[in-house]
Amino acid sequence: MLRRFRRGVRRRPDGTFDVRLDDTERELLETLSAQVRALVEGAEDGEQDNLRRLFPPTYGDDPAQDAAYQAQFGDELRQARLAALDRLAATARQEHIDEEEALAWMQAINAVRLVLGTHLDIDEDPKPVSPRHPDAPMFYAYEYLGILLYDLVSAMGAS
Amino acid sequence: MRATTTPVETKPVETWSPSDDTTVEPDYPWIVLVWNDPVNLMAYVTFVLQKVFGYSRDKAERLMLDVHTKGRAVVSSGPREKAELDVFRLHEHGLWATMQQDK
Repeated sequence: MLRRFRRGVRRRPDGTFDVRLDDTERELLETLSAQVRALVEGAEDGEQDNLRRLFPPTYGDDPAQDAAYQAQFGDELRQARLAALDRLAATARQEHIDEEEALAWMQAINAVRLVLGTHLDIDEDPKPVSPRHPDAPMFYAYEYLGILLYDLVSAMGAS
Repeated sequence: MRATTTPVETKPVETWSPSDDTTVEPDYPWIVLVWNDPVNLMAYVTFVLQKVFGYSRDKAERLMLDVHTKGRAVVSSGPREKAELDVFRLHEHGLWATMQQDK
């Protein structure tokens, strides 16, 4: 299990951010963003259940209106997701990131968590997974990304 | 010039009145709802509500707690186009948002 005892992201006085992650963590960000990117791209050919939280219905109680909305905005949302994931993958090795990159990290990491959380069927009170369970690596990645996302949110909220 | 008078024809006028099988949607405002989900972090939801709507930290936190404890909260309202844009931006950030008319 990945454990970190220091803050991974800190705001600098000039408004940019220091990113203190080791190579394993950076590699994980690259790998997961690329995997979710492939899922989002593949989803054009058909529904992917694990992606349902990335593309929720807008008109929850009206499928016809929702279909019209998706026709108008669905691709824009898909492109925005891919752009954030690409930005994360491209900057995962950087020691410093600017505000725009930090926002992309936040959106992309949250998107990856939504996909992992859906696959793991996470509920309000997630139970630890046994290290021998086949989903253990995915669960630890989910937990780790939660810590990193919290760091990012704290750093972005700090003035 | 001489004023002429023409006979006024009276024709049956077709009138329209709502029938039982016709419903007219009044122009209710649209509301945007954020729904509770077990994945999104509470701090993240607060941050997104501040960023997307420019809400104060206090207001964003109150809304986030409503989402968390009551299952959902109305986070914005207005014309349909504005509500669609708000939902789009919330979806972009991964929040579970829907919109509906406030009837």
